[in-house]
Amino acid sequence: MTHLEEVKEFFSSKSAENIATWLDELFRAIHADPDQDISAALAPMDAWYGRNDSYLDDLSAMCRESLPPLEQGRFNLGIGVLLQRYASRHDIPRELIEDAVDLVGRLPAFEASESLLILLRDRGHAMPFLWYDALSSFATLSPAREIVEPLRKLVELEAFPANFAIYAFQYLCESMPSEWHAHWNSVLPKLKSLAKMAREDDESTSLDKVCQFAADLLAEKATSYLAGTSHNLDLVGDEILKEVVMRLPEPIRDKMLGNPTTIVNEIQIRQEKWNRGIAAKDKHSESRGNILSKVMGVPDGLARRFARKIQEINLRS
Amino acid sequence: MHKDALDWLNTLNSDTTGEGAIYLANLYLSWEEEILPPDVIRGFLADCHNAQQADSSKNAVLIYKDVAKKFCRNGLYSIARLMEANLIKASTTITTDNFIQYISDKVKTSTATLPAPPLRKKPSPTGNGEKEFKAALTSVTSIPDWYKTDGISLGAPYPHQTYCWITHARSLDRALRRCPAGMSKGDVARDALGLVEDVANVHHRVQFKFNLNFDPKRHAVARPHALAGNRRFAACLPAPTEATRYYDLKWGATADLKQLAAGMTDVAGLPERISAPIPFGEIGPSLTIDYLGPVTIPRDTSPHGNRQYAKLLLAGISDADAVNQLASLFKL
Repeated sequence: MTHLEEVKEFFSSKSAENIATWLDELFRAIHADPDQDISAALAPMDAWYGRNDSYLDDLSAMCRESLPPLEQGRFNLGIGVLLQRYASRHDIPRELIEDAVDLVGRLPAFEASESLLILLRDRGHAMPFLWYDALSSFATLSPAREIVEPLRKLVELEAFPANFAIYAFQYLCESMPSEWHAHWNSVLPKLKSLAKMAREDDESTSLDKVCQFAADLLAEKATSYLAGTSHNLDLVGDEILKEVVMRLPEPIRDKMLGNPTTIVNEIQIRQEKWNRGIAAKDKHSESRGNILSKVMGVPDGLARRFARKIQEINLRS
Repeated sequence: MHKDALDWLNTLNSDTTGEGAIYLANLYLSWEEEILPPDVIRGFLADCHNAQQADSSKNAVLIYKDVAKKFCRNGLYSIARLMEANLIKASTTITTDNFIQYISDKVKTSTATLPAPPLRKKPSPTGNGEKEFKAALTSVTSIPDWYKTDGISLGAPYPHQTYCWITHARSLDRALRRCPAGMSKGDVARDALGLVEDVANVHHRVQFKFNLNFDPKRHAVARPHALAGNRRFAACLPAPTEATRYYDLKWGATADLKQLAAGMTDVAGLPERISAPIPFGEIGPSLTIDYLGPVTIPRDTSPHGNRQYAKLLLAGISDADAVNQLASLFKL
């Protein structure tokens, strides 16, 4: 029997629970005292051990090279089971949890992404570095529809660090562009609290970056809308724009917008109009194109096309 | 024991993957060049034999790797060939998947309004993926104290960091500047450094460059592949011109996998040493990081390719002679 066959057989007889136990034993052996003999714990991956830059690379290579899709899926579920076990215990060494979180992105193990949420819900307070690690794994899985639900729920957790919300928004938009309105609504409370904190701290430069980042994302949405790949562009764009503009500290707002009061007022007026269900006029659409061009760095030509598109929609309505 | 060693070395050499033949060649050369003294080789072979007796179902290559790991941990390299203290601009590479291991909690728990983005394990496959990854890498590594300093070293594999493969940064840079069309810098680095990666588009590589002050007392250094039990094609190459030059400078030589694949006989890649783990905190202040790109061209590690390489290493010595001479150490 070849190594590959042996490994395949080893995992084919294991449930997700068994795999979680095997992984836990492996992690513990790896992170134990270096003088300890770990050869027993390494079976069946010893054919791969030491071949790559890290044992997690070796573990990934073992899965990639030896497990058929069904076994791989069960292996990934096993990682999920392990994450949930780690979530419920407070005596697990940091290294073990980090490795389990790392594997989710590395394999990739989409089946375990829900369990990341559970881990962070229960351990995120005590281990704040895990938010970054989990986002790194989500980022690696992105774009993928499977991550949308758990990632949204993750951002909505109270302990989620607000300053990372914009990145979660990015991965959500990448994974399901058509739902960007819902994504925005998920991250908005975090961004609002961030803006509030930032104003208090007067971190104008960083805030400028946040605004620019959000504006870039919006510009991307507009671009995909114009390219016909997204059909869900509605006035939420204005909401984002408003959030962005309103959050700018005054000196930056002046610098970016030239005449901020007019534009902010205009956005507010239009927002109100749309909220009341009043259809926009042609002039209105033109002004939207100007704002896109001016604020979000969308090229003039694109902004004009955008304005025309809005105009067409308005005429139809 | 002579007979046992003979039998075990023959089993190692006849391993169907051809890896055993490479290990045999390197072990023989380590003895011939007096990198390892006879008593160490005897001890090593005795341990291999005993491990094989304890688990006869395990193949000889796995036994070799297991025992080599234990020897490495027990200070193998302190008895290896030493060099003078000198300061060099050194280089090593890792896959992007592992880079996150080096990022400090200061970055991960940043309270900045817009912190550095969580680094993906590899660039997104979308259009701007590599550009975005580079920007994120720059963003992370431009933060003062972005790297961990406790319990982390340059050297693979972690967490059991037993050794670190290093080359002259300028040698790798020179190779990268000659990156041919159709290859990524990740491919070039992989080939020149002899890093076996037999799958395409799975790994991306980053390069660490740093000042390293070699101190023979702290950085005991061996010629590559004395006993280290991985698949890396690094070794002393007896005949080729570049390898000889490296040897004179007390360096080993990697095997350039591109030249090897093309059937060349002079396959010397870059100068290389193995060092004991290098604490990250020590090199951090001089550290620069470059994203090299994906490895897009797999390099075959077929049994035939492995055997050809072992033959190149032995440079005219037959594998049977290598087995006999190593086993004869037990007659001394």
